[in-house]
Order: sequence, then structure tokens, then C-alpha cells
Amino acid sequence: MTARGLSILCTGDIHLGRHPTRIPEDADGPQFSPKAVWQATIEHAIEQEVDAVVVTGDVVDRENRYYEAYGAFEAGSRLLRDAGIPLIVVAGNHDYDTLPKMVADLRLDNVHVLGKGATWERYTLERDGKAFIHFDGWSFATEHVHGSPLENYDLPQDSNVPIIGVVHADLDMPGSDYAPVSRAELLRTPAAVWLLGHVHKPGIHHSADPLILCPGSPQALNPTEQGTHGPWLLSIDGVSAQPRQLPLATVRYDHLTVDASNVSDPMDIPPLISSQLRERISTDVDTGFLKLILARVTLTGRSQVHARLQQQEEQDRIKEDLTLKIGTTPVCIETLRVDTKPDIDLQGLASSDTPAAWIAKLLFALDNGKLTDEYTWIAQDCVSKMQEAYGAKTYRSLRQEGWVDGPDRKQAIGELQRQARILLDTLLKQKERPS
Amino acid sequence: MSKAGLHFKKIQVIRAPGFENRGFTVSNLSPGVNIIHGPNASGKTTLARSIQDLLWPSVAREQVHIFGYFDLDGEEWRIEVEARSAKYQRNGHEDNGPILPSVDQKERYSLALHELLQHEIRNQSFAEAIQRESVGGYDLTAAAEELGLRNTPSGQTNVVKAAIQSLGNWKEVQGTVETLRREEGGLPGLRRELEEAKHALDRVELLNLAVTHAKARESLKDAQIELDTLPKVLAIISGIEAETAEGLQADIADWQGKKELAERKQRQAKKDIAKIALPEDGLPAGFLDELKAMRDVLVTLESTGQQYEQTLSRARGQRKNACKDIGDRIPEEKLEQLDPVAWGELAKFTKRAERAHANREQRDAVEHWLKPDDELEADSEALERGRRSLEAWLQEPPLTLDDHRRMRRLAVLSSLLVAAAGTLLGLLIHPGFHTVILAAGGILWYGFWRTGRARGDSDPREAHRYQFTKLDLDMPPTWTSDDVRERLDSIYRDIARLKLAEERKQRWDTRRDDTKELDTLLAEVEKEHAELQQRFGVAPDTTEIELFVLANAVSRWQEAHGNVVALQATQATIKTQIDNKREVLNSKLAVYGYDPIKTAADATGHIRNLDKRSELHSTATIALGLAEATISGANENTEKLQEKNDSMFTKLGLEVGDVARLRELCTMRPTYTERKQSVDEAQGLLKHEIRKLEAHPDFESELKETPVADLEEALREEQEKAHQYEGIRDSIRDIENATKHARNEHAVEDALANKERTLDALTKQLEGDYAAMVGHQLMEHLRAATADAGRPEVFGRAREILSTITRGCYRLDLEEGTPVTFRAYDTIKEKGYALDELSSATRLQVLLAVRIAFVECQEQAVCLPLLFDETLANTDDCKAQMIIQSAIELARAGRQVFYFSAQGDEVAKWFAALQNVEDVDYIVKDLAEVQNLDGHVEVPDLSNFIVHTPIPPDPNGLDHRSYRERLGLSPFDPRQGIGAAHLWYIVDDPNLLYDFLKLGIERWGQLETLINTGGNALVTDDQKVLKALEQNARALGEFVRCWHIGRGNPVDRQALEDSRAVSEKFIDQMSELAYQYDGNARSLMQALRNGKVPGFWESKKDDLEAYFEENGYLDPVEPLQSEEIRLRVAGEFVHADVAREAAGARADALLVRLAAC
Repeated sequence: MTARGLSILCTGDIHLGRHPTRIPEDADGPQFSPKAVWQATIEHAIEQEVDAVVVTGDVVDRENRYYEAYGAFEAGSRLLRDAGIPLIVVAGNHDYDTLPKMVADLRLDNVHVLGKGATWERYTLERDGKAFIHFDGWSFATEHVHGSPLENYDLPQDSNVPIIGVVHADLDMPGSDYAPVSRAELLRTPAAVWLLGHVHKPGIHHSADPLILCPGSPQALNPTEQGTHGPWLLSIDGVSAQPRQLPLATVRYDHLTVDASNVSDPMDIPPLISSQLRERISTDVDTGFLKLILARVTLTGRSQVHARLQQQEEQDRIKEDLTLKIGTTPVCIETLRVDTKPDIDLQGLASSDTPAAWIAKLLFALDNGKLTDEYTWIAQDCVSKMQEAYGAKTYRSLRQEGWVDGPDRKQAIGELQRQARILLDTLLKQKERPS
Repeated sequence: MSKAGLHFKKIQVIRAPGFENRGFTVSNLSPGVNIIHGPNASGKTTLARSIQDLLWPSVAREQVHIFGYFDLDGEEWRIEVEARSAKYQRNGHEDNGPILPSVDQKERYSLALHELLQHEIRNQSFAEAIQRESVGGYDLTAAAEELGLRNTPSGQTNVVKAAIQSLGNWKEVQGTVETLRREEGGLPGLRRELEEAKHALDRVELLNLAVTHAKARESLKDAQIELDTLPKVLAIISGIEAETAEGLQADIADWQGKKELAERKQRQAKKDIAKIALPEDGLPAGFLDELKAMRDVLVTLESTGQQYEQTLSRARGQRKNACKDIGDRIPEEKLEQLDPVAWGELAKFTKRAERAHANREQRDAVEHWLKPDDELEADSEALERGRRSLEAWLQEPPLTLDDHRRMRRLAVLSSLLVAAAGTLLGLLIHPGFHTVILAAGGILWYGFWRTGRARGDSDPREAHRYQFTKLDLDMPPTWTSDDVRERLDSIYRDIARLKLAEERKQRWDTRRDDTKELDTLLAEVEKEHAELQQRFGVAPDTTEIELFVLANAVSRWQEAHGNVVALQATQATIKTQIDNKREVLNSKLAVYGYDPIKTAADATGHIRNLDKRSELHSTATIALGLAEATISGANENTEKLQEKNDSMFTKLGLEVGDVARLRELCTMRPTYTERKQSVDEAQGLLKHEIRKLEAHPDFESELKETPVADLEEALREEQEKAHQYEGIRDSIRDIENATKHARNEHAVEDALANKERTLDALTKQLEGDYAAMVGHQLMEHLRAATADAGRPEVFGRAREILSTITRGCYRLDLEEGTPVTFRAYDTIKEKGYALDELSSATRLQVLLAVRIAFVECQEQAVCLPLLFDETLANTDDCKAQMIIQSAIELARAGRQVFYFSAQGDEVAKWFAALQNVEDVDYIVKDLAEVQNLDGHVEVPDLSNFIVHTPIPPDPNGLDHRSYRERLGLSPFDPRQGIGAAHLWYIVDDPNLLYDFLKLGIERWGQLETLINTGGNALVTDDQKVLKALEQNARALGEFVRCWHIGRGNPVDRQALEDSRAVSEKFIDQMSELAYQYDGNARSLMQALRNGKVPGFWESKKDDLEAYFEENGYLDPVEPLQSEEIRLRVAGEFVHADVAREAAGARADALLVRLAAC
């Protein structure tokens, strides 16, 4: 117990056993594993002499079937035990079955799984022999839970002891299969703090009374989990709780939109991206623990080099040319998305009777959602073609894994627009070439 | 056609090559089709060339002189061409002539089949020209290439392989973990099983003991039961009782027989004893031996007496013989007193004297041979000197060489003689004579030396002769060499003899000492002889031999006489002893009644008789005793045996004498023994097993009573558990190790990350494929929409002509690329073909259409006649039909057509084709007739020709559905595509459908092409009707698309073979199966998975399925449900501007039509 009062380190959705995606193979390594961040979290908890460590579920990634999580979790739990720090966990949809079993196997008296069997359970932290704070927790008992766990929250109130609620739940996602809870429900409870799991994106959803905190995954696992990741240090003084995120994640995903309207040469793109990335990360990001930043860059605007930017070779070259380090942290482009448009007056072009005019008319119709019969046929053909590609044996792996969905009309129209722009740009460039 | 047509009415050939002397005129030509036929050299080609010469006189043949009459734009024209000069008249007035296409277009109006088919380059140039004119400044091909547009997805790239590999790896590690999870989940169960197995191990041991015990118990019980089935009495039966009883009876009988025999012998023995008449106890012991000993002594004495008598007789004879040898020299009375020793000395003397006399006789013989020769008293010195003189003489000259040689020979001979003499003497007389051989050597040396000297002196002979003469030796007869030599030889012999004599003399002197010794011995013998004569009183002249004989005789007599005296004394003593013995014997024998004996032989007879009597007495006495003993023993044994027999039966509880029962019991005894032994063994074993069982720590008393079957069942169960002990223990250990290992691993995390990485890459590739294929699709639409827009009129016209002449079956397309080429699109099969892929007939139609289109489009204002010069020659019916139909269509459009042929069947084909054509005028001209030629082209009867144009059935008021039946349509096959759809599915009005069918337009592909190419005139120009048709077609097209979703391409034998997954062994069966399932790959695979084709390997099924997926036979998407299809079809109607409320009914109507199939 520190002199500052009660301090709790909380995190969730560690997904031990999973690995962050999109890390270039040549840069990848164990330092990006959630195990590494979990270990850093434990070390930090011990170093900070916190009163408890709370994990809001999904400690174990279901894909990994628990074993590889076991070793890391066990090591961390033992370190905490040796340091006299209790570890309070609830099971999430990923580890509803494995976490209780793992904890039971470990037989460590400092590790407490709350709410096994989808019931509410309380763990009380005492100080000087008196209850100091309650942890009310609820765990998944099955992979899917359609109702709100709070409907059965009936643990006794204790006005003298603050309550921290711990649950793995989908916040404000009614109809979710993963224990949907609403903010209103949480606000109605007597808890001073609600620590929620399931949502990987960290964030404070209610600042106080109660504090609703989604600690998020301590390590970003894919490009959708952008921003800063890491456990949270919760300082409680009476009924007031102050959360502070510890950026222990070693990888950061980010997204940057770059306007390429004024670019006349693709060679100018990498410096442009580099400068904007540097500006953004340098000002907003704590890179202390980061070992890699993966940026998803989208090029926008009406560009004279639209067609060239669409070429894969050009995109690869741009990625290769971008050699950026912020501090000691390397930055890589995870995906370069070219969403530029050709710098063409479609209406003016459409007035003639040439192939370019035909494409211009098509683009005009697509952009405005006015598809004639002819264009509908084209769109349908594009759907068919994309379905053909999707159904090819080449992509059986993707289908089997459900990695990508089959293309639909909307996607086909989007691709048609993109290809129409590229083709138009290409044809117009032919006119510019000396004959 | 808006251009004015130029129609020849008459052509008059005044002069032309081949027709220099006779021209001909063809008149009444048709503005439509003109079929000009005639045999070879009848003027067909001349007429065709004449038409060209009339149209382009500037390039006309020099020799020709021709007239032509034609209509042009309502005016009548006359043209005369001669020597490339043309004269025109229009409506009877001189004129400069009409404006006609330039001369370079001339060949385009001449359509010869072989030219059309062979001038590919020209056709290609047409295509290139069209392409150049239509590109509009954009190079779509280049753009497509630049953007990498593709119509097919990527193949098995490294990205795909990496994804597959990572997935496999992921599944593998996932499977490993799953397995481990399952195994770990089973650990509690395994541990329980391990405990059970361990307990079972202990139980197995106990149950084994219990089973053994129970078996022993059962064995004892069984053995006892078997034993109890036998009579109890067998316990005291040994098994030999019956045999014993029989033996006893036999023994009793035997003893009774013996008793009877003994009684008979007893009686006989008593009788014999009485008859022998000896005392009861027989002779005294040793009496007979005593008698025999006495008898033997008597025998010996008698024998000795006889021997002495004989010896005495021989001694007397010897004495008598010795007496005879002595004779009267000594009286017999004195002989007994003579000293026997002295007479022995006398005998020795006689032997010594005899040896001395023998030695003397030997000495006398030697001395006789060695006695010196008195005649050889010659002087050896003189002989030597004489020899030397003669030898010297002979050695001196003048001896000739021959003499010299002779001397040498002489020396040799001499030396040989001397040597031979020495040798002989040495051998015969004394070895010392061998020294003579040395002398022979000296003679030889000298001989040789002298011969050498003789040759050296001048006359030395005389001196030597002189010296010789001084010797007292005989001279040679003459002093010639021969005589001297002969004399010398004699001297040599004398010398040799002299030497021999000297040697004998030396030997004679030596032997003289030996003679003296012998003489002394002889003297002594003589002296001793005399003394003996005197001593024994024999006569003085008695020789030593005689003395020797007498001495021997005296000795023998004395010896024989001694023997006679001694024998006579002994003989007397023996006689006395004999008498004594005889007396004793007689006294003893007389007691038993024997007469006195005289000789030992008598005694022997009496003794032998007495011995016999004694033996008989003894035998009878023994026999009597034996018989009495036998009788007694028989009585005793019979009694004992009977008692034993009775006792045995009584003991066994049997009636005495019931041997049969006893035998029966004895027969059962081995069985009893065996069973009893079994019982004993079982009892022993059971006791042993009980001790072992009770000693087990887990012993339970009820185990002693548990049946074997129950125990064995329990044992089996426990054994099964126990056998698993080690396996379970190892499994637990392995699982625990694996779990421990897995907790410190990160293989799953790595595999998962790698899977996601590779799938991301694959997704990116898919997006690239999306882009490329959508881009390609876009490009295709762009081409379709713009390719024809910029095409020159000639292309549109060519397409229109082709559509028209093929009834919409084909559409002309241009294949962009290098070079640009024409293509024909089959509107029914919905597939494009390059020219070389087409049948020659279709190809001809395409080329004809292009040629005609060019002709038409380049004609400025005048439409000139087309000349078909035997275009049908050597063509098949189909092709001929196409050409004829094409020509008819052109004529129908206002162009004059000439067809030249020498073939009657071609003419017939034209007739057949034109017969049903009402709107095209035509004529047929026979040039042979025109020129009055003998030969004619034989035109076959039209009835022999099949009319190729099908005549559809008239609906005659039938409704739409009924008309289908009349048409006999096949079911609609969506796989064939909408282009192949019969118009019945699209055209609602049976009458309109009939009109289309009459025009040969059956399929939607044809109709669509005709509509699109402006061939509406062939069908209808009612836009409402056309719109309705288009709506139905679009809906049908949507149905086809929907139907294809999830179905993939049909599988046929070729697909199965191409897959390389089906071997020859299965290809027939698989093809049949594919046929049964209508080529549905999904159904086929399902059937295969269900084992429809036994023996077809699973791996091959996987390969086949992969092939189907990869090549579009197996669509991963599920087929649409019928309601989904209906909605889509209805939606398509809406898209085609059908009112939403009517679209459903239209869709239903269409689907009913399709379902009706």
C-alpha cells in the first residue's frame, strides 16, 4: 500500500498467444508479442507497488488454445504473488473456459477469478483488517452472452467501501453477442469505477461517478486498434478515481490521410508522407516503449499522377522510399491506399464520342449514383468477375478462413469506379504522348 | 441501297480471245440473278471478262470488240468497246459514259471462290484499314497492357503457396494444441484409470490364485465323482486277484498230479532195491574206490612187468649185437671185466691220429706244385744284358720308321706279356707276383726309349751286336730287325720265367717250417698207436680205424649187459607184488558173491558190476526218498493253496469260486487306481492352492467358494485394466511433458501471426485480381461500346451483310492486335472465332460480306454487277447454299449478280434456292444454246435436291404453349446460354414467332444480332414488339446468370481426363457418373465422397475437387433458391422498364415457360 492511497493497475484483452498483424516479417519478433507487454505490465505493477492488478477478461486468445498463454500468465501471476499483489481477473468470451481452469491449475492464492459461471462475485481488499475496497466481478460462462450481466448484479451495497466493477462486456452495443451493457445501466450501479473488457480500443467512457474505463488491449493487435495502448494506473482516493494510461505497447498502428492534389511526381509522395507522419507522431505520441509504428496512409485529392499512383510498383516504391524514424522508433507504412482521383473535367470530357468520353460518362453516372441499364450490366459483370476471382481456387484459403467476404455490388461499383478512373487517366495520358 | 444500280440487259461479244471468228450475244439479262452456264469454252469466262471490259474499258483486252446494253438510274446505256476504246450512248445519244468506280476496284467485283479463300493478306488489310479508322485516337490495347488488365484470377503464386503453407502449419499446430487439450482434459480420467490399473495389477495376482484354487477344487470334485462311480471293494483289490485265484487252482491241480506220480515212483523204487540185493544202506562208503585203487595197482604192476620184459629183451639183443662186432678178438667172458674208461680213451686217440694223417696228405699236394724247377738255371744277369743290347741295337738307326714302329709295338707286346704273367702269378700263387707288372712297365719304357735312340745315332748297332755276342746267349738267326726283335722277345720270356721261378722258390722256403711241425705230430701218433696195440692186445697191424671200431663195440656190450642184469632183478620184484594184490581183491569181492580173479581185468569186471549194482541201489533209494517227499509236500501245499484261495474270496465278500466276478472287479481296478490317483493328486493340489490363496494379503474368504467362471471373468477384466498400466502411465507422463513444453512455446502464436500475414498478402493479391479483372471487364465494355462507334461505314455494312446472309447467326467483329483480324461471333453459342477457326463455309460468308461491303462502300454512286465465276466449284452443299443465299440477298438489295458455271448441279442448286424466292428476279442462260453448241450442261431435276431451308410448322391459331409442342422444342438448357435460346421463350406471339422461323431465325442470338446490326427489315420495325422481345431476353439472360451461380461448368469426359486425377481404370465409370448427374460437379463429388466409385482413392478425389474448383467446374457459391431467382428475374424486368407491378407476372410467365421444359 502506498502512501498515496490505493493504486490499481488494470488492463484487459491481453490476448496472450496472439500476435499483432501487419508487422513486416523482417522486423517482427517476440518483442511485439502481447506476452512482452504483459510482462512489462507486471514489472511495472511491482515497481509501482500497486495494491492490485485487475484484468478485464480475454487474457487468453481463443485462437491459441490457451497453452502458450499459460506460461506467460503463470510467470506474471507468480511474480505478483511474490510481490504480495493480488491479481483479480474475469473471464471474457475468449477465455470463458480456459481462464478459470488455468487459475485453478495454478493454485496461487493471490489470483482471483471473479464471477465464474456468469454470476457476480466480490473480492474485498482489506487494509488493517478492514474492508478497503470491493471488486465486484462477473465472468463469461459461454462464448456468447446475449443479455446484460448487470441484470443479475445483486451484490450488497456498502456505502463505506468503494466498489470497483469488473466485467467483460460490449458497451453500448445492444444486441451484441458479447454481454451488451449500456452506459445507463452502469451509471445506475453503486460502483465507483467500472472496468470493462472486450473493447480493444482504450478509452474513458465516463469520467466519474462512476468512472467507466475500457483499458483496451495493452498491445495493439491489428491496424484497427490505432492509437496508444497500454495498461492503466488507477489511483483511488476515497471515491475519486484518477486513471492514467501507461503506454507500454511496443507497436502502434496509425492512420494518416495525405492530400496528393499538388503532387506532380510520385517521387514527391514519400517526403510528403514522411513529413506529415513525423509532425503527427512527434506531437501526439509517447514513443517511450514503442518499437515500431505502422501507419496506414491514404492518398487523396485530384491528382495528376493518379494513374501512376494506382500502379502497384509505384506504391511499393513509395513504401520503400519511406525511411522514417521518430526517435529510435522506426515507422513503416502498413498499407498505402491510393484514393486519389484524376484531375479531369468529366462533364466536359463526356460530351465527345470517344472511349474517354464513354468512361467519363460512366464515372459521372457512378459518382452520382445514376446507373443506366448499360452501366447496371457493367456493374453486374464486375460483380460476376469479382465473384469469379473470389471463387477461384487461388483464394480458397481466404474463403475457408472467412478472411474476406465475397464481393457484393457495392464493392464492385467501388472497384469499377476506381478502375474507370485509372483507365480514363491512362487513356488521356496517351493523348499527351507525342505520336 | 440508295445508289443507282447498273444492270446489264444484253451483252454482245463480236470478238474476243477464243471467239475471234464467232461472237455471241446474251440478251434478256435479269437485273437480279443471272445464272450463266455452259460447257467449257462456251464463253462463260469470256462473258465475265467482257462485262469487266465494258465497265473498265481502259484496261480492256486489246483484242476484244464487244457491245453492252445496260440500265442505270432509269436511263438506257449502250457501250461499245474495241481496242480499249469505249463509245457510250445514253438513251440513244453519244455520251462520255457514267461515273463508275476506279479501275483499281475492278477485281473487287469479281468473286471467285479460290481468290476469296486465298487472299488472306488482302482480307487482313481490310481489317487493318477498318481498325485504323475506328480507334479514335485511343489505343485500348496498349492501355489494357499498361494497366495489366486480366480476365482471369492469378494462379498459384508464391503468395498463394505461402498462404496455403501457413494455413497448413497453423492447422497443424492448432491440431497439436487441440490434441493436447483433449489429452490434458483426459488426464483426470487417465489418472483414475492408472489407479484402477494399479489396483487391477494387485487383483490379478489374487484372482490368479483364486482361479487356480477354484480349478483345483473343481478338479477334486470331478475326480471324486468319477471315483465314486466304481464299486467300493475295488479299494482292497490289487487287480491280480483273479489271476491269483486261477493260479491257486492250477497249483492245487499241479500238486495233485505230482503226488500221483510220486506214488508210482515209490513203488518202483522199492521193487528195484529188492532186486539189487545189496544191504539196505548199500556198499560201505569208499568200498568201491578202495577196490578200484587196488585194481589199479594191480593193473600198473602187470603193465610194468610187461614193460620190463620187453626192455630186457631189447637189452639182450643189444648185448648180442655188440658181441658180434667184437667178434672173436675178445672173448665174451672177458668183456664183462674190461675197463670201460680205457676203451673211451682209445676212441679219442683214433680220431686224433686220423686228423694228423689228413694234414700230411694236404701238405704233400702243395709241395708238389711249389717244388723248384731245375731247368731254369739260366743266368738272369746275362739275360738282362742281352735284352739291353738287343733293345739298344733295335733302337739304333738305320732302322726305318716302320722298324721303329715295330719296335715300339714289340715293347708294348712285351710289357703286356710280362704284365699278364705278373697278374696271373699274383692271382694263382702269391700276390707278390704283381710286382712283375712294374717290370712290364719298365720294358715298355725301354722299348720306347730305344726306338728314340736308334733314330738319333749314325750307326750304333754294331756295338750293340758286339756286346750281345759276348754274352752266353743264343744269337739271333740273323741280325735283321725282325730276327733281333724275335730274339729279344724270347729273352723277354726267359726273363719272365726266371722271375716266376724265383718267386716259387721263395714260397717253397716258407712252407718248409710248416712241414716240420706236421711231421712231429705224425711221429707222436705213431708212437701212441703202438702203445695202445700193446695195451689192448690187438694185432700190431691193426689200424687206427679198426681200433676205433673195436673200442666202440666193447663199450656197447658192457652197457647192454648192465641193463640186462638190472632188468631181470626188477622183474622179479613186480611179480611178487602182483600176487599180493590179487589175494586181497579176491577176499573183498567174495563177500558180494564174486569168483576169484586171475588178472587185473577180472578185477575190473567184478568191480564194474558191483559199482553198477551200487549205483542202481542208490538211485532206487533216492527215487524212493524223493517220491515220499513229493507226496508229503503235495499234501501240505494243496492244503495251503486251498486255504489261501478260500480266504481271498471271503475277504472280498465274494462267493468262494466266483472267479468271473473277481475277474470283472480286477478289470475295473486300473480305472479305479487311475481315478483314485486323480483324487489324491487333486486333493494335494487343492491343499497347496488353499495355502497360497490364504497367504495372499488381500485374501477374501468368499474367494474360496467363488465359481471358476466368475473368477475368470473378474480376472479378465482386471487383466485388461492391468495391461494398460504402463501405457496409461506413459501417456500421463507424455501429456504432462507436452503440456509443460507447450506452455513455454510460442509456435502457435508464430503460426497464427504467419497465417494472418500470408492471408493479408493473399487478400492483397485478391484485391489486385479484383482490380485487374474489373478493369478488364470495364475494358471489354468499353470496347463493345466504342469499338463500332468509330468504325467506318464499310465495317457496319460488312457486319450487316454477314448478319443478313447468316440470318443473324454470326456477327462480324474485329480482333484488335497485331495484326488486326476479322472474327466471327457465333450469336447462338455466344462465342467468337478467328477466321481459321471457322468452317470454310462460314469463313467464305465472312469474307464475302467484307468484300461486298467494301465494294458497296467504295462505290461512289453506281452499284455495279457482281460476278461469281464458278464460285461454287468443288464446294459442299452447305457452302454453296451460303454463297447462293448471299448472292440472292445482294440481288434483293438491287445489285445485279452474274453467276457463271459449267456444273449442272450448281445450276440446280441455284434453281432450288431461287424457287421459293419471290422478290428476286433471275434468269438462267445456257451459252451452249445461245451459241448453238452441241454440248449442254446437264441440269439435274430439282426434285433430287434437298431444300435446305427448313419450313416451320404453321401455328394455325395455336396458343403459345401448344405451338411449342408442335415445334417439338428441346428443353431449355441454360448452359447453352441465352444466345442459343429458342425464340419461343422470348417471342410471346406465335404468329410473329412463325414469321421469324420462316426467315430461318430460330435463336435469340440470331435475332439480337439482326436487331443490333440494323437487320430489322428482316423482322419487324415495331419498336414496341422489339422492346418486349428485349425485355424477355434480358429476363431470360438474368435467369441464365442466376442458374449458373453455384453450378460451375458441366463436367464431361474431357474434363475428367484433363484433370489427370482419373485414371483409365475409372474414366468410363466416372464419365457415366458425370452424365448421370448432368455434369454437376458438386453432385459428382458428393457421390464420390459417398463411395459411389469403389476403389477411387481419397487423395484423387481431393485432386479432382481441386481441379474442378480451379477450372470453374465447381462453384464455391451455393446455387440460388428458386425464389431468389424469381426475384432477380423480376428485378431484371423492372430494370428493363417493365412496370414493377407487371414484372412479377412477366417473370412468373417466363419461369413457367422454362419450367415447362
